[in-house]
Amino acid sequence: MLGGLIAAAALLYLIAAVLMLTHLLGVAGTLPSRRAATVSLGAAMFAHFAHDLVRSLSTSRGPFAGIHEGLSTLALLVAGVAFTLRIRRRRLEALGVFVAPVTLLMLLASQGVDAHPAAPLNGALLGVHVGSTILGTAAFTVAFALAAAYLVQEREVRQKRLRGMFLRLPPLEVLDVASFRSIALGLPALTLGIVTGLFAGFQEAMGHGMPVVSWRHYLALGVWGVFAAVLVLRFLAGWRGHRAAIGTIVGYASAVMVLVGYFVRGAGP
Amino acid sequence: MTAGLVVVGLNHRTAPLEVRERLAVAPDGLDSAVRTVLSLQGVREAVVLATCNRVEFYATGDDAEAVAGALRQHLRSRGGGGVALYEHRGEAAVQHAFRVCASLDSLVVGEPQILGQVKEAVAAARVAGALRGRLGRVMARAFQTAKRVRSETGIAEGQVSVASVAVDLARGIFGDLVHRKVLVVGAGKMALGAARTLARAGASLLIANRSFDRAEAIAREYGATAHPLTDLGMLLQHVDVAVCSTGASGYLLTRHEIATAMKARRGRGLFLIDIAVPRNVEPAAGDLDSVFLYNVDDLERAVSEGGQGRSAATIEAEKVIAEELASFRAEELAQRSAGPTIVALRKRFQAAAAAEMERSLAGKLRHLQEADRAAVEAMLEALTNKLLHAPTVALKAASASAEGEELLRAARGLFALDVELAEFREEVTGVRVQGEVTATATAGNRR
Repeated sequence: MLGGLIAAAALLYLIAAVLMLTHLLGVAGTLPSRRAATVSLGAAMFAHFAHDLVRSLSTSRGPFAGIHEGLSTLALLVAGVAFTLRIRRRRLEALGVFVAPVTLLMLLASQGVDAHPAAPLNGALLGVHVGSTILGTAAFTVAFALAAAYLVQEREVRQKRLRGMFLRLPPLEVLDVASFRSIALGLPALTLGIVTGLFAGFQEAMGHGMPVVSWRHYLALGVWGVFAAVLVLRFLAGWRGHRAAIGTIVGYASAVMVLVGYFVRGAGP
Repeated sequence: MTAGLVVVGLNHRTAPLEVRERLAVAPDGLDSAVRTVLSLQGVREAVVLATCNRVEFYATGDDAEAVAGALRQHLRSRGGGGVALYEHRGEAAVQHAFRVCASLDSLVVGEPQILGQVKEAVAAARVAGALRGRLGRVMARAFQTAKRVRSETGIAEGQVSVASVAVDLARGIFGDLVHRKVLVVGAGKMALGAARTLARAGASLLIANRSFDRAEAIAREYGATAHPLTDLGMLLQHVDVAVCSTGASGYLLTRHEIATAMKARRGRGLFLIDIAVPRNVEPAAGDLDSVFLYNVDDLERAVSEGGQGRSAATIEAEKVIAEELASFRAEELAQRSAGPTIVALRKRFQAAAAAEMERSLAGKLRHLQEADRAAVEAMLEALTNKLLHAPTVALKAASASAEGEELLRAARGLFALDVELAEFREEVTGVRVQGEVTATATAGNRR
């Protein structure tokens, strides 16, 4: 049953992503595809949520119990943001194009990691570590979608193409400011996630003589550094718009690398 | 028809903005430009039409080939070399003038500015003494045609203006325009139109002009603040949108100046609309981060893309042009050929004789027998023929000479032959225009 639900969710996320892309690109008959994309996204979220609920009840593990659950929760959270934007903010709905594929990848990644790793953290601290990291990553995912949309919209404006995507994407400044706010929200959350992760490293070192800082910590610090730089340079050097969007995408690519690392090497050191 | 009329020029389709700005004529330079064209070998009349989208010389002369050659040479010598110049002669030139005035040749089909620009060009030619009849008639008919096209077709309906595209673009960059600052540099009509639309969307206006008095006057009218042109660098640091439309011959804003302003802006986006020709903003400034530069071609292309649904109106407008052209052709034929004037004159005399005959036969001469009546009719016809013989010979002879047009016009004026000539045109073309219907009615009443 769990396998069927996750397959249905993945398929529906894929359909939603394709439909949103056809609408953004202005492929003929875009109005039906726009509505169908929203329905597909909603159905995917429903199947995804049902999967997580059934799994949680059957394993007695909460949404932040580990990287497996956390990634799935992160994917659901990000899909929820995209769905809300489609329903509430008509001009921001195009962000779903950038968010849906990422959601699908997160969902698939969550299925690949070890469901019961030897977690160095327990109880509330584990919940804080996973929860804050997920919240931070969700915010960065939204920031990434906004930054990607900024670059596409900027290209439309610079190439003087004032129809099609130009009309379907949000204004440049709205994208820039929203991306900044997403990073400003995500950075403290990620900071908390890293601090709790480092604390786990210390605990591990004291218990087993293992290295204090693992490859994941370095990557996470790298991600943190990129996003912190995007924020700081915005204030100190007026890095807005194009440069900020590039910085955000680089930062998010680093974050994805951490997730890929989890996928490939598991949660261990 | 108008055998010696020639148009030589270039426009947005044949020449890039860089070429058009080299050939730009400032409004106060129109007079000397038309005098220069008038001084060219073989040119009798001239009109210089110079807008941001086109530079065209309209001229008449006895030798169309020589006139066209002189115009081409002049246009090339002024900076139009290296691009293909178009050339129309005779009826094709008239049709071109009609289409230009009716805004069918504009990048934004149906835009209203072109008619005003042609009227200014014709007024300048008149002041310079460069209109002596034929070209003036072509232009007057072109204005009449443009008026018909606007009133009888949907060409101007749902018009997407440069101003509305500028607002859409500003919204695409900034979102809400409330509390945004818009700087208008210069006092061009199009810039002020764009500024007015932006102000209506909630933006606040700043006006900078070379003449501070003029800036203050505009600022009062628009509820804006006035600034001298020397403040431009400082103003750029604070505004969100700048609309430039001065007649300056060089760049008012260089890439370096804008880059300096962008540093002070700390990366905030700046939307520059340069609708001046020659351009006011160095094009390389468009490469700067967060600077979005649009020139007149960019905006008008966007406008024309937004107005593609007006093809039905365009077809209707082309029909009006064809009707007007046919009517004008007949009019010119009547103007230049003695035949219609002689026929009209004869008709007028015969109608007067017949009316008098009828009146007399119903009154004092009602006692006449049939044979007497026929004799009186024959006498009247002979009298008419005798009276018309000398004028007919003179008009026929005059039509072959250079001054014939003047004599034909004098005959038409002396004997008030407009009604008969209108009927002749109607017979030839099957078209009756509003002005002629009114003239017919008035003449009918007079009769």
